[in-house]
Amino acid sequence: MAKKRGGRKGTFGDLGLPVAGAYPSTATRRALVGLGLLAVLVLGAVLAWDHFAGGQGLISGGTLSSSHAVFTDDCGRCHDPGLRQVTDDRCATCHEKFGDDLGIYTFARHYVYRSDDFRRVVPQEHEVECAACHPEHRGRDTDIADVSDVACRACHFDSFGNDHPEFDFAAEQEPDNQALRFPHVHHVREVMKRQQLEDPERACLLCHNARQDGRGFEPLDFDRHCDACHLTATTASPGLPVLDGEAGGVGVETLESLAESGGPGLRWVYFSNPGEFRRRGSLVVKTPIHHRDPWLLENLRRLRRRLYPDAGLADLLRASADAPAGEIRALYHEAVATLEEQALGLRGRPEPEIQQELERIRSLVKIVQRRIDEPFESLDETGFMLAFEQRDPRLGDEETAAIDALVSDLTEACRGCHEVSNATIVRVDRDQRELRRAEFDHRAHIVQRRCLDCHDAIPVRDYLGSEEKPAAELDNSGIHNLPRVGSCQECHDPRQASDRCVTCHLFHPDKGSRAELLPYFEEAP
Amino acid sequence: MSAATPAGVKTELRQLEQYRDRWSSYDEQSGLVDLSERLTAEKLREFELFADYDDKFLEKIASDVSLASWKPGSVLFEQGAYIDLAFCVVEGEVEVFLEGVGDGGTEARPIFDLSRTMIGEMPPEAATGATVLMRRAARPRPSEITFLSTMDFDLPRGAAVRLGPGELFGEIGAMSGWPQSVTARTVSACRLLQIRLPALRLMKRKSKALKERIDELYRERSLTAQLRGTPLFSGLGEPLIGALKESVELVSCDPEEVLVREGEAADALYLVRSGFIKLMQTFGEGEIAVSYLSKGMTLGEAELLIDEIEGWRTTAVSVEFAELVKLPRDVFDRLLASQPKLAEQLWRSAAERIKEAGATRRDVARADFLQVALESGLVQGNSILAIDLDRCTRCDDCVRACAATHGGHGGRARFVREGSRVGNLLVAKSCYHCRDPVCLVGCPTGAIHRSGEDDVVAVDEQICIGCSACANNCPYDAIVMHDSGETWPPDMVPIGLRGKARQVASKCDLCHETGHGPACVSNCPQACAYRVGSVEEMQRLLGGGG
Amino acid sequence: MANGVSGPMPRRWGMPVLFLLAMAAAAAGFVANAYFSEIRAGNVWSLTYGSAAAALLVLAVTYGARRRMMRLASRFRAGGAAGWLGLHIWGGALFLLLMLMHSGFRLPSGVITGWLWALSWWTVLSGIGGRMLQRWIPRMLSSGLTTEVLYERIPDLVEEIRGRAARLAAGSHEAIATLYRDLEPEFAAPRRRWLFFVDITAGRERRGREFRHLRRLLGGEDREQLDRLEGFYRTKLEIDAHYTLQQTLRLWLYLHVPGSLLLVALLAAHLYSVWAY
Repeated sequence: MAKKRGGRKGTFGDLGLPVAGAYPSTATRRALVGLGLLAVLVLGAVLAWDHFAGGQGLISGGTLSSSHAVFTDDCGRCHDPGLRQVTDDRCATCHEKFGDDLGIYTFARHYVYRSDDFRRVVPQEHEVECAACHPEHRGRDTDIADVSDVACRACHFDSFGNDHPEFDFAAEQEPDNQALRFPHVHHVREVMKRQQLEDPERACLLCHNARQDGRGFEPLDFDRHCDACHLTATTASPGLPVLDGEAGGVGVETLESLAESGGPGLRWVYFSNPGEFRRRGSLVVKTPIHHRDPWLLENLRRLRRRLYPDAGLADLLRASADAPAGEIRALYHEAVATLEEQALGLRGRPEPEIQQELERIRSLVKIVQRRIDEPFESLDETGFMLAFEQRDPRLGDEETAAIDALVSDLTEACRGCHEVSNATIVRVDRDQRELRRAEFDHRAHIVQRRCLDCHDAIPVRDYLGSEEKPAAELDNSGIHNLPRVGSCQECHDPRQASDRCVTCHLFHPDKGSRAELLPYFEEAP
Repeated sequence: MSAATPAGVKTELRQLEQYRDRWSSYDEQSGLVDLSERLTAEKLREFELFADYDDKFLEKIASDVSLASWKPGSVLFEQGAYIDLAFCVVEGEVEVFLEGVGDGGTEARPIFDLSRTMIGEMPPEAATGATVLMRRAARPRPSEITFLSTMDFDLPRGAAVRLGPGELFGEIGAMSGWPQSVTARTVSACRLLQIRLPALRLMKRKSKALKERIDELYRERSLTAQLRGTPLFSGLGEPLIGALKESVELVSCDPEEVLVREGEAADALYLVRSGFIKLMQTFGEGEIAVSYLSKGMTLGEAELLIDEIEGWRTTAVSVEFAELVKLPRDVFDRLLASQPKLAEQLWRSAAERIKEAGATRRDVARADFLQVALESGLVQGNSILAIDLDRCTRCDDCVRACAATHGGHGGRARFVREGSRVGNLLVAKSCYHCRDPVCLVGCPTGAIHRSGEDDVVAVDEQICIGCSACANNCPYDAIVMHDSGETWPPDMVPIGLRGKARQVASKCDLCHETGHGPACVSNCPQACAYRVGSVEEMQRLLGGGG
Repeated sequence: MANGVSGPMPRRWGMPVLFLLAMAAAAAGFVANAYFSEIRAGNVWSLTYGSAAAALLVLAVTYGARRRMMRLASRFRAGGAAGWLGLHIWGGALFLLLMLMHSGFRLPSGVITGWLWALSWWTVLSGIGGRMLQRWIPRMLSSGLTTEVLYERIPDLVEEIRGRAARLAAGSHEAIATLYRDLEPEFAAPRRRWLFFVDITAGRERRGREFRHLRRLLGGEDREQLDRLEGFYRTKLEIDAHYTLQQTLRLWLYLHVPGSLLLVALLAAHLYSVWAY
């Protein structure tokens, strides 16, 4: 029935090539998978070899930074099994070995860097793990302290140029510490005249001596910076009434009476020059007067204790002038040290009043120590000052007035520069440091900018040519003569100077300043 | 069986076994009560149907005839099913009806259960009775095909006809390989003669009487519907159709037979019942194919209507075997006179035909493609695998997928990615699933069959005896014989095969038993393998492919 | 339906558009990321990108598996291979992007991570190259050639043609036999020619001149035989073109597949190291 068409059965193409009867090959390309599997096997072998022959370098995520390079073959040193980052605990095994006091490498350290403000520690759930900002496995030469901006921006503002908050000192409404009266214009003018300086900025540098590392300045020092003009050999106190041992009343103790009383911290008496005191009847005149004159201060202290018998702590302020730069915590430490030193001097003395004093010192140490240990307590001078609110109620008005008059006479020479209140010379912040959380390197900037280009809050240049005195509100020590953040932003933006966070906020002190940390390491267990 | 057995007995035994082989696929659950043993020639001659044949012939076909008793209410076949046998009522009554009538609770499963062809996606309705309609709708057929020859019965929807003793049914579907148009169900307990397709074919060829009878049956049962189904006559009233029915002639064409010749006097309107008619026109010194006619289309309306056209405008040549209805000119004229509306429709159809011919003449590529499509049998295809060579990376995943689907690992692919090129398309040597599958003809066991109602031609490998008749019949090399790796068992019937290597015909079955679409298409990573259902689709592909 | 007749499909944009959107989203995520938190090994962003990249890589590799398990793919209706290829290509591209985001667009310093990085590039680039070949070569093959051959059958077909040509030459005019002797080396075996990459019909015209020249001198039956020999020769050239180009279509996979398998293995090692440490 069916007919074949044109004899083309089983052929194709013009030539009538035979059609494949069955399909020739349905099993090809094994080789493809085979090759792949071979490669996989080789890989498996290499991995196995790597695993059993020691190193685990192959599966490592990358080369470790130089600091951690010794752990290259010891993954378990930092990594826990599971899909987790390296935990802080693992970092802490090394980096917090020396206790929280050091705190150099802790998160808390990051947050409260040099502000010492423990109230600002963020709640636990907002804490960021070390590894979040300090990635490893980025190659041998990577600096893992060099935190990228993105890491900072995860919590902080967006960019330096737009969102960086104003510096704290500028944001604060309170005037700066006016403990010292220091009209800049007058001083610059005087210094330029005396030393025949052309450039006013040379005058700046006479007092503002940059620190070795260029970050900040050496603390101001009376002996180096003020001594040339102030408290000369002829400076004399007014005549001061001498305290009559029997009659009581209001007056100053003489060297002799002090030596007799033999109280704590009076060793200086034996080294003092009796020739500096001139007796004029019941009055005594001290000349010359030294900076931090111990006799003067001791008398001031005694007067203070009469005015404020409960203000034992306020005595500690005596030490305040020696506190290291801006560190209130250090001030407390020093207070403790001072108290302990006093206690040491009194030890073994059987007199009941001495024992009583010792007891008082010990309780003070305890109080201060507790305040140091309590991280959420603000450490400031108010704790000291509270004691000044209440004068001794037993004192009569007459006696009080006499004491005030004596304090005024006693500090006459001081009050040329210093502020005196509550029978206390107000502590001067000699450090002048304002940028507490950032580092500013003057050396990097002085090449392109002059001092007064940035420090222009006090109009020094405007008054140099004339003899005119600027108004007090234009030139006093309460003025923050510092540029605001906007001044930084003029140059530090993405197209000019670096605007990275770590440019200023370097949380790890450079290696040069490590030396300061050594005492902590020596104390470590 | 021992060698001592006399030859006659041997033959008889063999025939018996053959018979069992062929009829054993009926399962118990159908309403079948009893299936007769193989009938002898004498027995057969008792039935009117076989009275005219000689003994020798009857012996030959006896294996393909059985006598079966059915329970009342058994469904013999469902509307839309492909069956390979005809029924003749001996006793009892059978009801045939169109689905959609509330059918009174069929207890027994139909013997040609459609559900076995559906694995994955049986809709919930499948369990009730509306299955067939549902699935007919699911796959729209190309609109130009009207299934005239499927209309075995001229039934309005919902109506039923009862067939009594002596009536033959199912034969038209079986003969032409079309799905049944009705559902058949026994009304009373029945005895039916069941004649399988090979026997039916032989009978028809042998006996003019049977042919006439079948033609007569066709005329009686489906011609009316067919005529009315033709857009042309759809508006006619009942009496006119009746008159038409009497005056038309049924014409059968052999392959390449010239039906009418260009220039000769046009004397009739032809209506295509089955097959394809190629229309040619002289063009320069040769002829080009301008169009072709498929089922339900008419030839001659322009010639009859327009007086200026003297003779046939085209030469009409049958592509393969074709069946047509011829409406003589005088009948046509009478019809036209009585139905002025009809003229209008015909004019429109004629105009379209002329326009199409003109378009083809202008676009030689189209003519060329038509010619190729007709010659290479693309018009036949219900589902031709065409691969866009512009995108094919020759990865052979289609072939691999075919092999994997048919027999899993190490399976045998059922086509080769070789074949003829039509433009940028490669027509792979894979089964076209022809509208008129010649491979079905001559299969001695009926192993190759139309499966389900989706025109899928598939080989039942269990029944295939590897005679390669289908492979030889297939004009498109789509059937391949291959060794199954087995040898025929020593008790094999026919005896000639015993101990020989078993060959099996293998061809594409559109993955119809897997419940998913053809794997070759779905596994082509470049989406460049298509199953094309008509010449128009292929033309679109060609256009799209450049 | 069991018999899905598929017509020509419109170009599907869904997949590319989807993946471009995903890419845009990923890129946007990455930019946003630069403000919120740095992508760094082990942090949540990095893990997100990394696991997305790993998932995409696995998805892309699944395509290979799907191609080798077609029966299962059909059985479980895993979708057409074309869709998978789309996923494979776009997923692969997205994988590379996510991988780069995962690494924060830095070169990784670890050994395995370095290999992963390099192999990712290699695999994706070879894949893109292969894809370009896949779009270019079929067009070349279908534009200039009339014959379509199966790569695996090329040696057989060449042998068949050689046999036919030899038989033809043996029984024909002396001039044709001589011409065949000249051509014999060309019929002997499939030949690769780089020229086919440039001109798919390479050599046809040059030889055609010889044939034309000879045709003028021959007549009748001899001429017919000459034409047949030319037919053989042309077909041989076409088969060579198929051989050259189809081989390229197969060989590029060797650049892509083994590397990608190694990539998956490395990924496993990487995941292990991330999990364990």
